[in-house]
Amino acid sequence: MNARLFCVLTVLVLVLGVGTVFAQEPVTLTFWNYWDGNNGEVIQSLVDQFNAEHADIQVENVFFGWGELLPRLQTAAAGGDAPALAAADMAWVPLLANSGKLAALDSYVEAAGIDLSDFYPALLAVNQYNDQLFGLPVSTNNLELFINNDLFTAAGLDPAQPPTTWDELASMAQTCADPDNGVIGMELYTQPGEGLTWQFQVYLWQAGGEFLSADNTAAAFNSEAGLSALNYWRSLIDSGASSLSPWGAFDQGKACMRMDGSWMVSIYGSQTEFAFSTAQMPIPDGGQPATNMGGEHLVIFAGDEAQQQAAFTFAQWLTDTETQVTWDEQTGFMPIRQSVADSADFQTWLNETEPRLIPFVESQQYAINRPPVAVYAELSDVFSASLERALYGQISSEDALTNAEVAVNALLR
Amino acid sequence: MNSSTMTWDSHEAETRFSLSRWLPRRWYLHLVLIAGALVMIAPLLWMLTLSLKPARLTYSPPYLIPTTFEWSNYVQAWEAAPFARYYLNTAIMAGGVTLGQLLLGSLAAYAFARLTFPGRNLLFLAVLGTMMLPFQVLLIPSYLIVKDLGWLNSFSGLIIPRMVSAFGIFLLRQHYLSIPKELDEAALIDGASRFGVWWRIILPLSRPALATLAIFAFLFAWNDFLWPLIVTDKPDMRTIQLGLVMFQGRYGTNWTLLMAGTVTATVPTIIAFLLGQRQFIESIALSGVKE
Repeated sequence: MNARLFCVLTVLVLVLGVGTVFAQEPVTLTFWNYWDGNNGEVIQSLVDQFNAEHADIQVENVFFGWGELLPRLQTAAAGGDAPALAAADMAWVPLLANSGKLAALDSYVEAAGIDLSDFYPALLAVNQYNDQLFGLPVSTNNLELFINNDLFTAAGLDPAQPPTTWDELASMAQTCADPDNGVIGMELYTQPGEGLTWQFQVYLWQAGGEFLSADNTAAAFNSEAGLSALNYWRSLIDSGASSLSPWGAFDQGKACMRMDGSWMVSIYGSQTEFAFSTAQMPIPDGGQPATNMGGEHLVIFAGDEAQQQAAFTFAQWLTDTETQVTWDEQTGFMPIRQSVADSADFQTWLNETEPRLIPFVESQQYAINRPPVAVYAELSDVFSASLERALYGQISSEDALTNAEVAVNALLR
Repeated sequence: MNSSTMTWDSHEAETRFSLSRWLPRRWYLHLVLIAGALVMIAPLLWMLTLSLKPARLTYSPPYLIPTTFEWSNYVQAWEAAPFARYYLNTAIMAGGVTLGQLLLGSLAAYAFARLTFPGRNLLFLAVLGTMMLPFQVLLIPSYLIVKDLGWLNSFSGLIIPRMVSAFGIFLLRQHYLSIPKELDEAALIDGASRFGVWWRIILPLSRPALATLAIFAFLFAWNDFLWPLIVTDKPDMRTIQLGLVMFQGRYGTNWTLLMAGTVTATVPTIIAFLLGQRQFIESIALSGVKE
């Protein structure tokens, strides 16, 4: 009994003693993100590593489903209960910045001496709102061409010789299409929604067009480039190279080609039975390479100065070249900065482990960001709904673009 | 109502006597019911089939009867998140909400059905009026109240705000009105208190309505997604429905694991329904005999 009491007292004294020595409590940060599965495991291990290296900052990594994180962030911010920082979908950054709950990062970036020119400019542009920087890119991806090797070979085509121009894409798709067996040559996203909008933007940019004006205040897609992109889609459908069927044929092994995101490389690797390869998206005559991108951006919520500073320290660490090389190699995300793409470590990994990601990495420099406007979701809905009518042959391409222009300008006003 | 149904049944049986030797009684009804049952069960079967497919067959054309049996999907789904903890949390939450709705709903309904007090009808209208407000409108105010009470990430926050439902009060009140007042009066004359009448007379006669409310409340709480999402952010306070989104990511959905998890999450609701259904039918039989 006495021995036990002695033990308890000793432990108590020790705990109190140690407590006084380390009276400086570490700053605790909550970090919300929607990275799941393998990505979720990688971010947890990186957070653990950060915590081990920083005695004064402890980050708690909290997962939310992708569909839930935005409403959850908005409720929490409204209730004054926001996390210290979050990894937000690219499309959410202007929305969150517009809510006034985010901390501007310009002064922190300057104080830390971060070289912003190493980041891809289009990725940084997403975070500019009212001439202030509200986030840092942390992960990205882009769209390129996927080819079903089995269908390609069966049609007498060579997957090692992918199409490089719009004309080649059209003719190969037509050769490969087999309507009797439900095989589509080139799968297009023809249902209304962001799926259509962000696929179409690639063709628009390739043809030299712009989606919105430079200051994001008016529609700019009703142009010669817009018309040629839309007419190209319609010609693919009319010639039988593509079809108006719902998105998903490529997953089922029923489409020879489609444009999709770099993240699908690992998914097709595990969830399908057909062999596939990837290539850069073919471009029109006189056009230019371009692709669309998605990904996540670190945003810091306004809080007390110590918390904001600590959150920035974590953000800086997570977007640092060394951390990013590990992150990209373990997740398959695209580089967010040039130094990652150029690093020997990353290049070796790419060539040895997943060469099918090479077209995506090479195209990252041509990736363009969707305009960072708060009404983007609504804008995408009206745009795609108008284009869909042209794809179904209900109205002319000219009318579709004009209607979309009127609707988009009304939203931007 | 029950006795009239009985007479109609016997007439029907007599006129169709010759046919019924060949076919089950009211075979056309069975035909419609079988067709309806097939439509209802098809999505469940599809869920089961997909949950037993190997991942590489995820996108192969769908079929209804399982042909592959990839039981490891269930193990993987169970281990992808602390589902045992989620299960426990959901059971406590759904149980608490159901008990609360039964107790508070039946007391409030008794007051509205039997007691006379000033402003009763106005108050009842106000309760009904809350049914017209979509939950999305109440979301932020409810969240702020729960936050100020310090109930975030707690069972109090998950259960207490949902312990009363206007629907439950309305359902039970309508049922109480159908119980003859003479029974109350007889009990009161025999010396029962108001609580005694509620407990000994009204509740035993309301088992069908209570069972219905219990099923509704339990299913609603078990399947609820938005409220647990809003009031919890600690992983060990999450519910099953929140755990399932683990498989539905930004960059792709792990369908086989999602379906395995969904099957696991659906089993308790099916059990609850079967239990409640039995009670439901028993009670109807009981009240039919009494009348």
